[in-house]
Amino acid sequence: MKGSKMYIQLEFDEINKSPECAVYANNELLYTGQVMNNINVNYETQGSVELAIEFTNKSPRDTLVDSKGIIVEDKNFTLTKITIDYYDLEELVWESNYVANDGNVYPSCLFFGPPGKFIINLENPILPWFVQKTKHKYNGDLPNWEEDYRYYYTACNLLKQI
Amino acid sequence: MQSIETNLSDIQLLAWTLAKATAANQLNVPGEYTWAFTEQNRFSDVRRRSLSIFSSGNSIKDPDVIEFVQNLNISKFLIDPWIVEKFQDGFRPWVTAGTNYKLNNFDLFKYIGFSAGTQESFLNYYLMNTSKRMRVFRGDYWWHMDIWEKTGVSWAYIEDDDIRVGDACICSYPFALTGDKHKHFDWLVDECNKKNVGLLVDFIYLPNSINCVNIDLSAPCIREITFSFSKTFPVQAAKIAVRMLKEKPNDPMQMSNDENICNRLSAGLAYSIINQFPIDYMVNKYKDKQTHWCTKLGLKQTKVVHFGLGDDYTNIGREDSSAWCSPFNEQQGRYNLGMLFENEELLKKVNLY
Repeated sequence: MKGSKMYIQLEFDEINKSPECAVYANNELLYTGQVMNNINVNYETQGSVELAIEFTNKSPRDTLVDSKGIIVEDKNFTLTKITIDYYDLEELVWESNYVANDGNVYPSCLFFGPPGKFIINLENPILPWFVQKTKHKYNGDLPNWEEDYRYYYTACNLLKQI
Repeated sequence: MQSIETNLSDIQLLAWTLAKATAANQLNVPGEYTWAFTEQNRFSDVRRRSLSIFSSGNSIKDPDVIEFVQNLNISKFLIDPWIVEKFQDGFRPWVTAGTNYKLNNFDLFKYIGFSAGTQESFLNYYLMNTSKRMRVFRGDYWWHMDIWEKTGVSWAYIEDDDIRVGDACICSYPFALTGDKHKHFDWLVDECNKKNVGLLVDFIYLPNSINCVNIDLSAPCIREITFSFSKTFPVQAAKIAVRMLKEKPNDPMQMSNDENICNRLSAGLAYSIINQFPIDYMVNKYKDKQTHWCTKLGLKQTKVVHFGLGDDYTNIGREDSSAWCSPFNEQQGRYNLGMLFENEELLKKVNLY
């Protein structure tokens, strides 16, 4: 479905042993390859978006343990930030799940250890969703944020002309 | 008489657009205070800034004055021992040349002093009247009340009690909240005369006013008057003001003047400005623009060229206070039109003019 563009910026850290990932939006593949510190993708849609990051090249051989069973080396990485259309989702990134291939679901897990998929549900355009989610924090839980958003959106479009 | 309906929808869109333009560095003339900038280019910060777009009483940031000031070499004034005196000598005829107001018996105010903003004059007034109760009308400069509260000075709004022996009054003229003469100003002068109470008249917006001020300064209670530069010229952070009195004062500010240790950079800047721009410069340049914006936005045109009056747009849907900087700063119905004047080019480009 065509809609407005989303610019998705993913930031990763603690990348160990060349992990690979695939990034999907509503099951549409947007990226596949090495996990890098920054992966930027575009997606065009309107409405709900399921953003998924799949850990694609993890096998049991990647995890080395010592004689006591303690992991001494592993292939893994950590998601540190999601920015959509230049809005840092900040703590909203924790409103997500990591669904391991073995069926276990880890809420609010940004660590890619077991093979599986990180999933977060968003909306496009992102700003009204973001504002609604964060209005308690930034906007004093005010009832008229939608009206404010309308003015903001109009102002942004007016200024884009010049 | 036909009532004026404030066009809150257009006002809100202008406020959001200018706030967003601040964040995106798209203004024709940027702000001069940190609070006049949107912190980050994001919704919550733009929203916060949009509430203060029309606040403050500060001057129009006129591009020609800004250019003139930027091209001055004011450091030379630092080594000119007579620069403050030159400014003071030039100030009186500069004020007298104004044709939009009448200061009858202005010459009775023989003693002129350079003031580091009117705030220095006010602080000295408070200091020299510590045994008295300070009095102002509701809506006058919020800074007085805020400072009195913070420093434990006794004070009361004039509306809340009679003028009594032992009071000390301050009143802006044109009045800060309305850009017009306060409706009880004449009564206040009479009361102060009867009770031998001093009245400091703050001519804060005088240079930007049109047919508003007509005062007999021979009234015994009016012993002190003040003038601000920051409401007329974009030199806010230079702290330039003038205090004039009928009798020579004996306070710290006068001592700074007598000792010749006033800020020469600011005095030199002020001296340069009064030699370049007449006192009615802003009125002549922006009167028609005030009419344009007040008509477009459904605001009542005030007698101060950079103000319009209307309903408050900042409280729509909001439960928290939108008073800026101080709880006493309740001036949301007074619109400073400066940002609209200064950013005319931008607003024309986005079809909001």
